[in-house]
Amino acid sequence: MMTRADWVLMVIALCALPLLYLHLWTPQDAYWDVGGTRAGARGSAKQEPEPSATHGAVADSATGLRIQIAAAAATITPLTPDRQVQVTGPIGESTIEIRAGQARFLSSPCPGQVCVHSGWLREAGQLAACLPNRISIQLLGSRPRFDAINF
Amino acid sequence: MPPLALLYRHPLLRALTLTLTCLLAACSRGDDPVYRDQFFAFGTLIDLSFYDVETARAEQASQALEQAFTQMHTDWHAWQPGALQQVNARLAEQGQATGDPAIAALIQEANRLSLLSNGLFNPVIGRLVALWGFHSDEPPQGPPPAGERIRQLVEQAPTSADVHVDGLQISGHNPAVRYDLGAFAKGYAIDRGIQQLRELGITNAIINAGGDLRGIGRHGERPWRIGIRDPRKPGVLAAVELAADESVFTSGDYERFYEYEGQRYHHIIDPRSGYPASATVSATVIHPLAATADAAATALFVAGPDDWPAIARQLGVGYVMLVDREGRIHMNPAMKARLVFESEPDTIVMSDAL
Repeated sequence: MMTRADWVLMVIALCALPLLYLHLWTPQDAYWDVGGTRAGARGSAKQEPEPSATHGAVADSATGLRIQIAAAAATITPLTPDRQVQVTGPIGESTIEIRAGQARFLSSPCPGQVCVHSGWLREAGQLAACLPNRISIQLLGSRPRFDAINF
Repeated sequence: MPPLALLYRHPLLRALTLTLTCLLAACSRGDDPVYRDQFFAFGTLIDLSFYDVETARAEQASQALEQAFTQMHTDWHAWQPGALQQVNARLAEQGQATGDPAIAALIQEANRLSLLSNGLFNPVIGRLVALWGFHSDEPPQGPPPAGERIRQLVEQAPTSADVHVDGLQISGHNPAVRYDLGAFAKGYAIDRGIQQLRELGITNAIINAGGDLRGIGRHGERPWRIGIRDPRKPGVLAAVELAADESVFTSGDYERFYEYEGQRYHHIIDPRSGYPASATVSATVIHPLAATADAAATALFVAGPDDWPAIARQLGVGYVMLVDREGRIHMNPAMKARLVFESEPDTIVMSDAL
């Protein structure tokens, strides 16, 4: 027998369902930015000084940062706390900044500075690379919106 | 009473069970079952994605690809010592060369696509590309070359029709011929890489070489999803889902360029004028083969907003999008039917069906 209280609880639980669905299943990356993926790009992309204001949404999708140096095995580092990571490649030391769940090349010994100009990586799957210093960084996550970016 | 029924007896337990079930369902999505690896070759970052492959086998395949790509890059390099440079030197000195089998096939295919593109994809203008300063890993600083020098090279008019390939014998009829396969070798290498993956039993994969890619198979239950980047502002312009075996290539004026006195000089040289092609910002092509897509993206970029449909038909390319200098988007109806734009473009210029 269903009591009145049963019905009320059932209704509440059913109402919670779509909310849960929305919270856990929808991609939270409406403000996606791929400025950071210009691995092969040359030239003067504009550098962004601050992480995007949308980082709250991004932090949900990116779960770690994969750093690869030349042919060495990649390392995976967490996105918290905010910090700077020094990595040494064939031509010197590059600095990677991790802030608010995002990551970027902060400084690099390469002449072109393409990696630094790439700006912030914001979402799982995005990657940036320093070709001269043979370092690539990529945000990892469980639900990247795109499997690959064409440019 | 069966123990499970107990869960439904009490209203609170009932609600709790329901909520927990939802939570579990949500969590069970787990991690993306895609193996990712990257290495450097062809002056860019090669990014591999394999769906649902055991780590050991994926690592083995990744290493095999890295080895193959590194070798191809050396063999086919336009301005560093290697097999292609030898062919260039012999063609210039003696008018003929013997290529190794890989080089001969590569050159033959480049020549075939060049002829189909009316020479707009021209793989033998290495001297022009060098004159503009793009035979370097770092972008040139300018100034642009002297007009007189450019005119001289254009008048020599080397085309792939000047080169004849017969087996391993390559003969040339124009001493100005210099192969530069920058608009083609990466695509050809990706095709070879995909073949290699298939031989290793990997059937769901993407090879993405600095933004130009070919995908085979699927991402599990769904197709591979590709974002095509906006050529002028950060972010994705449009999304596309790949058929089981397709390549997406874009040639853009933002890929390699320098600015001198406020003017942008990029690396896609119009062989007819000797100057960077100026009417197009980016040309995107979807085609099964990466080599064809690579050459076609360059040819259609050079063809520009008016002439691209005719060239696309000759090349047998079925999906094209071109962004012109005013930001207008040109495409054929089949391409429009596949693209999902992030925001509706201001102006779409639709071509006839290809």
